[in-house]
Amino acid sequence: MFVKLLFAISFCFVICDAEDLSFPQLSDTELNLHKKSSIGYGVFLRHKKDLTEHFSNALSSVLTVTESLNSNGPAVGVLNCNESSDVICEDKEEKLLLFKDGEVVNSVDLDYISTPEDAEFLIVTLLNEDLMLNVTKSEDLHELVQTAAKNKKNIILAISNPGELLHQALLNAALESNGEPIFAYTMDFENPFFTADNGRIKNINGELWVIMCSLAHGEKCPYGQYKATITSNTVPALLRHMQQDSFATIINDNATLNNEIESGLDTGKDIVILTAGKGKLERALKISESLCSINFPFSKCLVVDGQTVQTPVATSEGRIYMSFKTQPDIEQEIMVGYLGSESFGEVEQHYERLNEHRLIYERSLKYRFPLSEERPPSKRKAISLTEINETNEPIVADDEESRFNEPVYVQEIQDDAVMHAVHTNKALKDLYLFDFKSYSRLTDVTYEKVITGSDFAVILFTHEFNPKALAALATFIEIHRTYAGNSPLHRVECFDWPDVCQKAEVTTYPRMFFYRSGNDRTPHEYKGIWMQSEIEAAIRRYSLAWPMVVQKESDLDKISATSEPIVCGIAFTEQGEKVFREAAQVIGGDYQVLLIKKSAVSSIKPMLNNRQWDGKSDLIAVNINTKFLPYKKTFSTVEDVKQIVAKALEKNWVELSVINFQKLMAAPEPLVIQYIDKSAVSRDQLELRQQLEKIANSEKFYGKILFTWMDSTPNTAGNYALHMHSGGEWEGAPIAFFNKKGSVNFKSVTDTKEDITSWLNSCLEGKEKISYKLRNEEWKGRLPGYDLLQIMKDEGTYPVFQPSKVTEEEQEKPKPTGGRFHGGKPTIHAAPAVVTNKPHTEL
Amino acid sequence: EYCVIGAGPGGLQMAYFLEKAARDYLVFEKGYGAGTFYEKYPIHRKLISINKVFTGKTNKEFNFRHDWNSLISHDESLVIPKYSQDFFPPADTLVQYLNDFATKLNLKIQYNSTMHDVMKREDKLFQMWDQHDNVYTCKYVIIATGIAKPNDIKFPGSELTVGYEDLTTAIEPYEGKNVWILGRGNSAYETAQHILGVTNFIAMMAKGRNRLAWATHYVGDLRAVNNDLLDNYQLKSLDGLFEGLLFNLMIKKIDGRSLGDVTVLNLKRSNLTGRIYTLEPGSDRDTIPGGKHLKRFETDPTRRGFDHVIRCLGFKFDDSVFHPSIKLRKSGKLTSTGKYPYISPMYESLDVPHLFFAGTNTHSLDHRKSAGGFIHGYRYTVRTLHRILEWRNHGVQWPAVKFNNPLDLLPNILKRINEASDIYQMFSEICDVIIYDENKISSKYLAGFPCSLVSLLPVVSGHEVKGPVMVLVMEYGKNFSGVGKDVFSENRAAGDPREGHRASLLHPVLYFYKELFTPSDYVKKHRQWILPVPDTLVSLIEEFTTKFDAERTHVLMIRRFIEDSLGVDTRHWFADQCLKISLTTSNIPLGCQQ
Repeated sequence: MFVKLLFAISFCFVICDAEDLSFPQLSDTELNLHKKSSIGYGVFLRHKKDLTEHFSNALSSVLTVTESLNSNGPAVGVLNCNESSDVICEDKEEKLLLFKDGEVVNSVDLDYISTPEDAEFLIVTLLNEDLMLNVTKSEDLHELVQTAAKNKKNIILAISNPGELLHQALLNAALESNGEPIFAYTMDFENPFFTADNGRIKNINGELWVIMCSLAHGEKCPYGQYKATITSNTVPALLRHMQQDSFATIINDNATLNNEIESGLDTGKDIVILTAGKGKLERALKISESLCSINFPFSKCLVVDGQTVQTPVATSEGRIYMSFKTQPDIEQEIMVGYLGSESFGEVEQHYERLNEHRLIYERSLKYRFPLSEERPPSKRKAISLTEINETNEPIVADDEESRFNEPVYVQEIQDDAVMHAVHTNKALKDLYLFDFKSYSRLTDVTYEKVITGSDFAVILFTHEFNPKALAALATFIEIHRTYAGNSPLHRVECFDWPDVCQKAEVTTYPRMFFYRSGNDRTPHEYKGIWMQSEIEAAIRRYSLAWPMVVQKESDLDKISATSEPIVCGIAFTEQGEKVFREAAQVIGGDYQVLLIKKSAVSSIKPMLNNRQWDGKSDLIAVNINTKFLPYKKTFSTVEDVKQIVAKALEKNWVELSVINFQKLMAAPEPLVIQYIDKSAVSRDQLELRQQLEKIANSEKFYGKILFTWMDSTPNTAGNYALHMHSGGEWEGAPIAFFNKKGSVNFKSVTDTKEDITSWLNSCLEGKEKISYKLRNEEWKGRLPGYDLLQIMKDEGTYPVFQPSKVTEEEQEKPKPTGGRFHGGKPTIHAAPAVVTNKPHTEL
Repeated sequence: EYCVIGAGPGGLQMAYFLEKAARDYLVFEKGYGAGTFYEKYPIHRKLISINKVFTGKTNKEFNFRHDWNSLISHDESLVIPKYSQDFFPPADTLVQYLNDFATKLNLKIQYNSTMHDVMKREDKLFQMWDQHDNVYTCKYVIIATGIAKPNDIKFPGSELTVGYEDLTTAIEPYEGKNVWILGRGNSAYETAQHILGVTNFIAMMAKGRNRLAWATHYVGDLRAVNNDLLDNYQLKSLDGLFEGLLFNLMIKKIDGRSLGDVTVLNLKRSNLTGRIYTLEPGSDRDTIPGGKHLKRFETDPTRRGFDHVIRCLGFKFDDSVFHPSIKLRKSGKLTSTGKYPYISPMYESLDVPHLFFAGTNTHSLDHRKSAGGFIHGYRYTVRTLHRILEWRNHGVQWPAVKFNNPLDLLPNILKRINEASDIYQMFSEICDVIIYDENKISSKYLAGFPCSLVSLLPVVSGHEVKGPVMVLVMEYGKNFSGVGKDVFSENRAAGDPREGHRASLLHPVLYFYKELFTPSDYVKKHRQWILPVPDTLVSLIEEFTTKFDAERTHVLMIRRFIEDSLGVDTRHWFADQCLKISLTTSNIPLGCQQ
């Protein structure tokens, strides 16, 4: 890029006489002195007696800017290599060498210096390149962030190449910044730090990221992506905002509130207002600080003291209310939506969801006015609930108190993430409601055919009024598409075929049943999590024979590889085979089951541990990841087989995940959770893991503790839990003791040689200091619906309308102004936000 | 155990439920087949109950909302749309259907059995005889004989009239004739509609105002299918209406024509002040009692005389089946001559215990309110009666679906709102009831329960009530229906959820009671309220095609209502959110507990 840039610049052919130039002709002594300059020094190497054209040209260019260069720091001289004995003259090319702190930081071909601008650009850039740290790999960035977090210094990171305007603008800013913030750049970036952010990055070059390590929690810094165009002029503003807007402004009066909103909207920011009830101001500030740093620089946070400022929401004691005012891309509108009240603990969850872009807050078009020229911007000075209403009518009532105490237009606020996700996903809704071709929808007739047939079938019961059913369908269809054309997957929509669902006794949704091939058409219900991998595995298990019989060695080839455990029964006796076949009917839904006949035993014999098997007894062997765990047993009952399998599959060290957390949480034993950042596993973490695994597999805490680990990669549930349990501060290898009694003991293990056993014992005995108390607030209605009885009383229609009054009221009602009307005044909803919801169907 | 008298739609429907429950029962029918009433009626052989074959839906329950002629059964071939594609099917189709219903479902019916002298013995059993004097004894009697006795009001000259029941479908007798129709129900309009094209003019007289079904939302009032006469009347094409009292009427045949008169004696009672009817000049006024008080009214609509006077005065319950020892009061003010038997909300006679009624004869409970007088209504009231009897006599609880939490309950409420036919047809009369446990989390859903018996929920259903109760009702706006209401006003429908209480057209309303209200509360309720004022209430705004599925306007409103009423969080969560919550919160929301 650098070369290309310079080639693009035409050469200046002004011939200059070098002897007339005022550059100091450097002696070796002077050279040694100047090259140690901390701000940089340029040395022209002159080899030829006569000045060449491009040497003269370069000198001339540098001469032209010499004053400005000098004022900025770097000085320039000419070293006549014909006279000098300095080692740098061993390079026989005429060039410009740039020194800093005694080291050559760059050398410039004189051809590249054709104009004074080139000269200034190159010298300043190359000499100060260390002001812009080059991050070449993710490890570097992590290290940089850790350092910055420690020093509470912010980082501006550009994804750019030297020579680009963005790069130059930031460099100039770096020159003036006196080391705050840290400027960095990267050219070829594939760092999970960014790409994990829900796919927000598309064309990464030219982007600017702001990493707010001044607000760091431990080694983690909140970060945001700067979207505005960066020029030399905008950088100072960016830096200024970085200092100002990342911290919430506390508002104590209405006038300031309106002004802040107006100025924020004018600069294109979203305004996040946290209105704090009594006793919550400090906490609101902290939350606001965190939120705004995450959304910096396109959000502005205002913390409103609810006790001194009249706001459109009630401010009860101990409550924080959150509202958004945002100027979306649609320039015609300013939209305002209210999240309404939330219990204190939930505010954080709301923030978290916002950050994950799972919940797009609905906005009411009722609160809008066009930003067209017809409406002068001055109107925006008085943004308030009443004034931004198009009709200038009071929104709820003239009575200020009642208006402030009642959340308005609650129907506009969807706070059910699953409901929102499925209902704003047009593709999914189309698939759900209207797609009658892509997959099998059973009718009353075809349902009968399927369940009375003999083919393997999977039937999903859904209901269009259940958001979970819609979400489950997304996963179902993904699996359906993996079949080439003979998919066994079917669906019954219970709104279309209620009689079918009634017959199947399905009243909750979604529910899924397997019908195994053959004559036994007993439906087996799926009880697992609605996650694709889990469902696929279940479908596979139910589609197989219970057991699959291996008669000869070649039969094994037909069995496809799986990461799931396989239970093998090696039957030497008739009784053994009979029992195992019965057992297969019981455990077949949970595990793949193989019956290896005597004739095929030789094929797996090498894989078995002969010391545990006499080679002729009935045997149960469980295959996990190609490793057989044999249990010699002359089992006599199905229960024996079940117990053997359970014992074989017993795990003492498991990952705590969405799949198993409910089971683990339901168990009486406390949990030990090691947080492991899979994206950057440290030695400490590995060593602690080894130690914990060893403890878990020992008998020491058997029946007392369940040992688990969680992935704490950024943006995971584990990361969130780690953050909460640690209070945002940890080092080394973090570990938590979750006692299931409402509190957590957290420990940062920095010395992995330390025996963790004593800490575990101490936690079990309740002697460890509690690091985190689980939230225990009672749920409170966040967004009450309309109290129609009260409305009726207020408007005098309780218990019923009086006939005469109705007529009057009807006459007073606004008449429709356009569109199709069934009657009355329609509700106009904001168009659903155009977002493609990330497939997210694990329920 | 059960004797059902009458194999019309009501009797057959009752028989179906008894058969399905394997009860000991027998249906007695005087005719040679089922539904013989419909072999004659309606006289002009076209049903006015709709038969909407195409709805765009496969949901059979939903489609029942628009099939007003079929009975409830598990046999999918037994629905009228399988018999006729006509929007108003021929009456003969119904007869065929009813007989198929009886046959295919193997209902126990004894035809050609004209029962009489139904009486109650001292041992509390009922005894009755057929025309051959065979004696039958039963524990419970269910009268399903319909409302089949023509109202025959006598007045001077009434012998000159012909009753609806004696009409034929021939129109020739009316060609070029003046016709006077007495009555203003659907049989009167049906008759007018049939002959209107050939008469000189038709005058229709009744005591009250014309009631248009679309304004009153009562299907027993004048249906649009029969209202050509109104068109002619308002567009001034000879035919017309006027008001008068039948029992003051005197007609006389002079020169081959009948002339009518109304005396001034009942002007006050008839509320017809300023409206006087007189005889045609030349009549013998002196022979008419009260005639001397008459003041001739020159524009009397009857003054031109009529060639035919037709009585279309409706039908009433025929109690001739009972022994004189059984004296039944009639409902309404006229307890001796009323149209319907006097019964309790459990469809039981208030005069004779264990004597029940099924079908259109129970319409006194919702007369002019809902559809209990018609097949599409009483197919559900009969089911209700059966369920009441099942608990009362056999200890079988009212069918209920149990829900472990409100998250699963909500879709079911929406499902019912959007598909249920019983609460839809029998709006304001049949409700769904949700009984919450004390924990306010789990619940039982009782579908199709009589609204008027909610206060007696445990007694009627067999289900204990320990926690709050929620009732789902479909209803019209409280001040929307009625004679003369402007149901086409441009503001007839609410558009904003905050105006749910102003919803006019049929819409769902959910009532929440922290504790079950008492029968006394029910009695004291405002007459325009279906139920006593609840602790909280949500009323959804109406929906054009009655699909109440708008994510926020409907679904969200109900969810918030449930949340507010129960004080529980009913949001759904993604699994990873639940994982986070589980690790940081003691109170795990319901959405994460599943």
